[in-house]
Amino acid sequence: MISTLELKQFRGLEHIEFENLGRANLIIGGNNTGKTSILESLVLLYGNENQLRNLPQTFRKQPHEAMDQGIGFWRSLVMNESTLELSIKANGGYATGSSLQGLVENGTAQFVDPVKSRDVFELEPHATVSFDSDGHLEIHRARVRTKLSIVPTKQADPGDISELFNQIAPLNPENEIKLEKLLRKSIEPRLRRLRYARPQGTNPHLVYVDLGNSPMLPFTQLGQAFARTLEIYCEIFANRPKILLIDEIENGLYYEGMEDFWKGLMAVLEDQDVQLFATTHSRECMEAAHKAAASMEGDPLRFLRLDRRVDDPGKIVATTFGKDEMQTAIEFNREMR
Amino acid sequence: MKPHTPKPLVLCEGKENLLVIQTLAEKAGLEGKLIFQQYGGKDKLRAYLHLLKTSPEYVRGEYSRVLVTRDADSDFEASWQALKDSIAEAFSCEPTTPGGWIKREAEPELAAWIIPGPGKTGMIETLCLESSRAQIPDVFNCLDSFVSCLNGLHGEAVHEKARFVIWTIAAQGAGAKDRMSLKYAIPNLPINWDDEAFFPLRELLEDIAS
Repeated sequence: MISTLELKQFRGLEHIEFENLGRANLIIGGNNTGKTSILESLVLLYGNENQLRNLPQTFRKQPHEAMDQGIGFWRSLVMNESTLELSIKANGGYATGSSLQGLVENGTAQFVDPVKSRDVFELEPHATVSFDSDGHLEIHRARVRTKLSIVPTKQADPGDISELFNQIAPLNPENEIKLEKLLRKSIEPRLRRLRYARPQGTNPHLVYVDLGNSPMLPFTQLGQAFARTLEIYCEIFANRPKILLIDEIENGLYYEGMEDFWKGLMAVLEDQDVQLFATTHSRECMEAAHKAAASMEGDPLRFLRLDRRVDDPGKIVATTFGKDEMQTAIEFNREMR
Repeated sequence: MKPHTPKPLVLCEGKENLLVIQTLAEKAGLEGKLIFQQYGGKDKLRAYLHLLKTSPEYVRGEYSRVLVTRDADSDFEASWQALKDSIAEAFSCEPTTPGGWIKREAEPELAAWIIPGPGKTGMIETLCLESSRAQIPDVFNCLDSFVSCLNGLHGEAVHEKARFVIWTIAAQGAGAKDRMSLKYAIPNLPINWDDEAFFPLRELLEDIAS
């Protein structure tokens, strides 16, 4: 697991370091403090070429001008006009590989591998992005063989979620049973089973849900929370990532079910050896995660907060805290977002 | 984000300490210049200081200075040591004298204070009691003899909080039965906020607000 994450000159962050990271890491902070930037830094560090190429649109709205989408995004990675380079480092991560170089030109990211050697060497996971005088950005990073999955704010296509589900069942029915159990406990107690199907006259294949007392329903009829939770679990069981990024994890979840959602998710993270980085704006989500973590063995949860200094609004500071501080905050009804 | 001007923070041991210290600050003309919080009793001080250190307000630099207070109770030295230890554990620095400010780079200055004052035993109630002694000697004649009688009766000293409750009844006059708690009693009690008993704490509040 990644134990520390350090960013220098990255987007609006001059220099921040999160230490003592946990199995589940909830990223919090005010508007425009850089929560999503943390997720983007992890994509730069661990994402595959496809995830890197799509990074400008993954967590942010598509710009109107197509040409701007790449240039604007990639240029804004480096903190400001006078800065030429940013760096991202993670310690205690998955640290073997060779280097990958990418070039961003005319708004499109091209990633090539100039290092032909297949030597595998111990390397601290890191990425640097530099900006040359011709307006080109170059991205260098250690190629780390760590699988990363992303669940962005906007819901994935129902067909894609269903395809993921279909990858789980034939290879590992045990995980399919686990998934059904998790959904039953945290979202839909009436759930009997899930089935990947394409009834006559419909397209595409979808996950159908058996609730026991009526014909099976496509999962899209069961509400946003069900779809979101199904998407997250399918991502974990089908793609088997080591790092999972979720933007605005509370989306679609009703507060009463959050603690059960977190209990289920934390158990899966532990079981499947996945490290979670998720952003949230919700105090209820933070408290539910804390309560769920408190009922588990070990100390799986960390809160990573970004704050803007009042004496220097351009400066963002990072704070990591855990269960003790959160417990006291709940006791005193103190706001920790 | 609305702009904030950093303000000094005064941490009080409990709700009653907060009430008295906040009123003292208001009487000293410091209304709105200080932020007050209470940490729910001395047993929770350590946890509260750790929480404070990671709180958004602290990290964002919204506190210019932090004054941590607690009651001496029956042992000034033990209370002072416990307060110093809690601060050292949370902030990795230790106050040397009550009311002495510790300057820290890029962090708010820190100071600690034991109530009723350096070297004295007692609590916030002690300050309230002592401040009114000169104004209502008859009440104190009654109170002192009654407390002395109770001490003899039970073979141990009446707790300061019990003495304070008896005083709130005796000093308020008619209708006092409905106003035994400090919250309701403060406006009706003859507390002399300008009494010398309050001087050191008042000076410290004026200093932190300056």
